[in-house]
Amino acid sequence: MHITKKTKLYFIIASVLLVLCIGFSFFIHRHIAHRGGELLAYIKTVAEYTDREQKYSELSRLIAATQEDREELHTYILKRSETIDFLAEVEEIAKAKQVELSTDRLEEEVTDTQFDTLVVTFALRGTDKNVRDMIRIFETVPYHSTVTSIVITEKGATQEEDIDAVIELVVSLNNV
Amino acid sequence: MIDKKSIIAMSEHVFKKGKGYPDRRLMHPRREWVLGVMMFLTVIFVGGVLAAQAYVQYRDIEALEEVALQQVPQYNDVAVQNVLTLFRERNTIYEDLTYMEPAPVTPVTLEETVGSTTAQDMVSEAETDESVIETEDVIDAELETQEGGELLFE
Repeated sequence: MHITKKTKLYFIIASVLLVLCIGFSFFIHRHIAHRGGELLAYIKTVAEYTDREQKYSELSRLIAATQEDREELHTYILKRSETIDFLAEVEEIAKAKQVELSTDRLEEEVTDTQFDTLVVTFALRGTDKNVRDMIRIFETVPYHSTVTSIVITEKGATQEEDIDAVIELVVSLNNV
Repeated sequence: MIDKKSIIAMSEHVFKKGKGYPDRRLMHPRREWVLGVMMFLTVIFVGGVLAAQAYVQYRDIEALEEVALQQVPQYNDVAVQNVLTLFRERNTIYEDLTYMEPAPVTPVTLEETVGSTTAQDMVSEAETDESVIETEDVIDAELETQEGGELLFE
């Protein structure tokens, strides 16, 4: 069958138009996707900024509202600079309570957390009542601390006899 | 004479028996038309799907907001109050246990320093101007009376 030039021309034009249409469609689609990506990035930035503003505002209010509590809490953590004062205070109290006190071990354990720990071992000697009072004092030291061990050695049967005690106190130290 | 019906019948017979002659035509308008329409529909369909996908994706801006919001550590107020209560109690007990009685104040007795005038007398004299004037007058009178006899101060 004979193909006329006109048919060929129509075929070529149709093919070119088809390719152009397909190409244009893909171009438009890619362009929309690209601009959509940019829009997404802007939206994320705006959302993050808004969220950050909101969180900042909330945190500011929270910090202001809890300042007194936090400051009070802060006083219950022994500061590194106050260690010597604390030990001196303990010795003064022991003296007032008529208990012989000696510091056998003083060791600082460094941790990765906000708080290091100070491990102190005291040796006490005195009457049963006084030594037990001192132990109670160690247990209620107004710092974040724990009495990890107590060893009491009673020599006599009467309460007037002196007793020996060894107490280990672990106190949290504020690194800040 | 062969009429038209006979020719058609013969041709149908031949086509049926020979299973048709091979079609040697390059162009089949109907086929090409159907192919063209099919391609057109395919392009329209694919384009429509892509456009619809883009439309659905960007239709609702709020739905795009899949931002990983920052987590703020929560302030545990209950735990803080519990801890504060615990430490306040500890502090109270500690202060009770370490409370030391203040040393008793011994009263200071002031002794006589000048003549027969005690410190208490001096204080009481100083409280009133009259008494001070009187005291000074007495001292002046004494000095005047003793000036004739002995010289007290040189």
